[in-house]
Amino acid sequence: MTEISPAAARDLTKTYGTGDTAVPALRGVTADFGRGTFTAVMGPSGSGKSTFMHCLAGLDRATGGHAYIGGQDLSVLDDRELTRVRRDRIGFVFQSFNLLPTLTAVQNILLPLDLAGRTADPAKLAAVVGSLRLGDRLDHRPAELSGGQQQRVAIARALVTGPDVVFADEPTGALDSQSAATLLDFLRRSCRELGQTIVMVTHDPIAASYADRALLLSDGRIVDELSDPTPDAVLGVMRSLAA
Amino acid sequence: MTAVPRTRFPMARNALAELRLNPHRVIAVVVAIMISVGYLTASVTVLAGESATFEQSVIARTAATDVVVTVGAGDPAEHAALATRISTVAGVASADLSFLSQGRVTGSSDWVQQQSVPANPKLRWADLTEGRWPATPGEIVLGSVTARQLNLDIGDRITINDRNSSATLTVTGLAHEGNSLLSGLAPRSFVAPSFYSVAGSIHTSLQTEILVIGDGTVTQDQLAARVTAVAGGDRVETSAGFTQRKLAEKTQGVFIFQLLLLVFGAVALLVGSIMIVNTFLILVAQRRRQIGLLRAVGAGRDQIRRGLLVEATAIGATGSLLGVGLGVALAACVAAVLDGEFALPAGQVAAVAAVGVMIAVLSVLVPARRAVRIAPLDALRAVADPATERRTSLARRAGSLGLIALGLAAIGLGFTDTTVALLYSVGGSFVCAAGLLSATGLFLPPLLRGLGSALRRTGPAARLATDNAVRNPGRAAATGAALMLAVGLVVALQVGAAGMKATADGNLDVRYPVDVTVSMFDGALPARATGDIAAVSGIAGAAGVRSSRVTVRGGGKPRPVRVLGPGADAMAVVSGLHPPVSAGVVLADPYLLDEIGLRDGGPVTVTGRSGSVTLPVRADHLAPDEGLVVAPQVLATLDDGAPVGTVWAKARPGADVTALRSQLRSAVEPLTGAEVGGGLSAKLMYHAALDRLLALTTMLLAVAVLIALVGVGNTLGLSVLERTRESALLRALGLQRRQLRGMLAVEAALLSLSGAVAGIAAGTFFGWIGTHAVSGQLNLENVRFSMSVPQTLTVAAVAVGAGILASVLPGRRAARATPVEALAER
Repeated sequence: MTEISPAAARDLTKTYGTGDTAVPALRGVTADFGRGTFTAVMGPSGSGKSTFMHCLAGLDRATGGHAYIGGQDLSVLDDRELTRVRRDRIGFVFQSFNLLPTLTAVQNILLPLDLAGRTADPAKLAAVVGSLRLGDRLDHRPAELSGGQQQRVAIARALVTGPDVVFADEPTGALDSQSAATLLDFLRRSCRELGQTIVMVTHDPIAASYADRALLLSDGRIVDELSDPTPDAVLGVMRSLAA
Repeated sequence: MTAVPRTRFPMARNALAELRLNPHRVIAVVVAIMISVGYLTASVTVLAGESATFEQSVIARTAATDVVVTVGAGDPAEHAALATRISTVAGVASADLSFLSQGRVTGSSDWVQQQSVPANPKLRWADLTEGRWPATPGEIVLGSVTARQLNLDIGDRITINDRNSSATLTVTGLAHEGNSLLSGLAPRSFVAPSFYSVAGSIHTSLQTEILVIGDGTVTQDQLAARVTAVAGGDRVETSAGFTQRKLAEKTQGVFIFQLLLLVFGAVALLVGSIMIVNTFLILVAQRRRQIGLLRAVGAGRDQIRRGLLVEATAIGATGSLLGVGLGVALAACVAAVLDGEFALPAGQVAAVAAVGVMIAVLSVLVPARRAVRIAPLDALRAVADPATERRTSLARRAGSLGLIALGLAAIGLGFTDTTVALLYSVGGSFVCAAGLLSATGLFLPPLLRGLGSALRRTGPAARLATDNAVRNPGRAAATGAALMLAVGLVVALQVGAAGMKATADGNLDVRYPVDVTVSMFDGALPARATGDIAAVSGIAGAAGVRSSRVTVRGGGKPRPVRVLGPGADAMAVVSGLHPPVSAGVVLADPYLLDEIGLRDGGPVTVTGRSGSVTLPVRADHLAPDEGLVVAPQVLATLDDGAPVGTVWAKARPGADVTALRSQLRSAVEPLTGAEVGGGLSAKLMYHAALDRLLALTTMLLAVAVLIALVGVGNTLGLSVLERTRESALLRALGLQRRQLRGMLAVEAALLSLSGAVAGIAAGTFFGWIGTHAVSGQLNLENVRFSMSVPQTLTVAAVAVGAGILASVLPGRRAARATPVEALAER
């Protein structure tokens, strides 16, 4: 590792429960996510892809191995330091329930900065809001926004802090195909144009095709890796896994 | 073919499963019912024990007696003769006289009751714990509690003064005296019958009875009939009948206390039911999807409603059972501490428990109405923000405001000069308070927002907390209303008591112009008395006043009274601004004026040892009880040799009255026959009585405040459950655990602060109204408004502090979950 990568996993394991009821979810995953790359983490249900993301992003603690964000080993951090890493160095986009219902769109976007006691760079906020076409929606509350708009607000929130890496967990799962395409296109552009590192968990081959690389997980291990994946290539690997 | 089990009560099973699986959601409701029911149970049980203790003391005195003859006022010699006559009646074993009187102990304002103990050992009903029974007129036995209060022991001497006599007695023993919570029993002492009947005794019995014991040959009723034939006009009763009459006369005090306890119990129940309704509304909102699912798979509206009723009944029954246990345990402790009787009024306790269950069931009716409106489709709607509550309807707002206006109008009428002012004030206050409570939805959310905006600057956690506190205005209003009611009542009482104290102080200056008086019934005080009294620390000045005994003649019979002639030095120690007594007027105790049938301003003739005057009379409290005040030169006309028989003294403002009284007592002790009086004791008694009442009522209302605070914790706890995913999102985005806990603490503080602020404002207003109304009823003038800022701030601090404390458990719960666990929870 010559250059410090924004996110990396070394022999990451996670086991739920103990003794007879122990269920291994990750069985030693090692991966590097280079700066400015857009990676799709794929796999069938129960493959461990969500667990992998949770451990890598400091949302959950791994049982063994190490997760690094910007070179910082998360396994040595206490809850307070881990929370700070999430706040300052990671952006999140979840499948649903991304926004606080009591806050307006712009308040939601600025929430991580607010929690850190920082103020937003107005130029950066304007750029993010403009490119996501949220300008006329800023004072609306989540209940007044469509699903696609809500997810775009979530992406704006993830980008506005300038994080080392953005984790997206099935970001298009609850969207119609048109909104999903707009959203994925925006993620790809922010990777290409802004050099933003993105890790996206998905089970949708079309969504994965927007990424530079696809990692395929099965039974808690990385079983394959595709560069510049196409939907057909991904589908092919997925079928072979299911077989 | 397999047999399919049929469930008879599917909704009941669902409801009970819900309770089993999620007990923490209803635990606060159970606690609220437990506290209310426990409080009421303890009240009725303690009162039953008190009544039993009281009955024992009434029954004990005549337990060995068969017939009681109550003799009217008259010559003691005639009473003795009657007793002798009765003892010769066939079937009578013995007939003994029993006397009762009351007197004030020298050097204190304490009244002690003297009961004679007949020589007949069968009639010595009290237990002697130490020493021996009084045998001569100069001996006395004190009740053990009374002796402790007066700080007297065997061998000590005690001086007791009644209206026209004074006696110094030696304590020869102590008798067991049950302690009573309600002080329904007066401080008690026992003297020998000869105290009243010895030749030349001037002690008057207030109530004389002849206790008759039969020889067992006839029944009580027959014996009573035979005694009646001898006794003539006096009242003859069997001892059973006598006891019953005494109990009926004396349980009045217990009854008033019972009423007070029950009123406060009702307040606790009201606060509890506001909280229970609120909790069920939250539960219904949280179970929207679940109820929708039940409707989708075929549950009818009735079944949904029945399920909730079963749940409420189970909760009510659990809370009531626990409450009865708690209350009985408490009452048993009280009985043990007071060494009193313990009696369990099973019927009343059962009724209280039933009320607990009923409150729970009634409280669920409104939430149930909302639950049955949930559509099956709601099961399918994924994102449910329960914040969508109906806004307060226009009709309800108008109703609330109408009630407030009506109440205010009635209160306004109470300020005008009408005979039913108290009724207007009290009724108006109730109506106005009901309006305010139903209007909490209108003013509490803006108040929350206003209080929150002050906190917004302190950080993101406070900002989020403010938003959360007002996102569900109905819920916040109901939580605040419960607290507002409880805090409002406490503050109303505090302000009322403070106002009454200030008003009474002003009126006491007029009513009791002299702080301390030391006076002889007749004759002179020793020359050094004035100096001794002036030397007592806390006394600002003392002056001797010449006095004499005169005869006053108005419309009716001539009457012997005391007359004082205060000089300029004596007028200088009078409180307030009292003009010097003019030589052309006689000032009389207003009550005396009434008694002898004189009208204010009419002429009165006063005859003394050396002369007589006829002057207009005026009512003035400067005159001693049943006495007169004239100018010194008028007194010289009436009695040219009038000695200094009275000392007037003024207390230093803010002097320690208790210390002053105890020093005064030792200064006056050697002066045989001197009696201490004056407004200082009365003022102290007023203050002590008000303070005791305030402490008692505050303690009783603390139960309501406690329930309201449980409600704050409950609302918060349930909101935290409902916002689990939101908390998780915040944690994922970088909110520290500490900040999350802080956020909930701020939310709790805002909820309790808004309730407390509204309660204090309302309580201050109603307390002032109450002071005004009660003062008017007592004919006090110049009503003053007063409130104790430290007291009120303490209430606010307790409410807010306890509110924050109530956020600890929900806060820990919310902070414990890792973001992933919480995000996964659907």
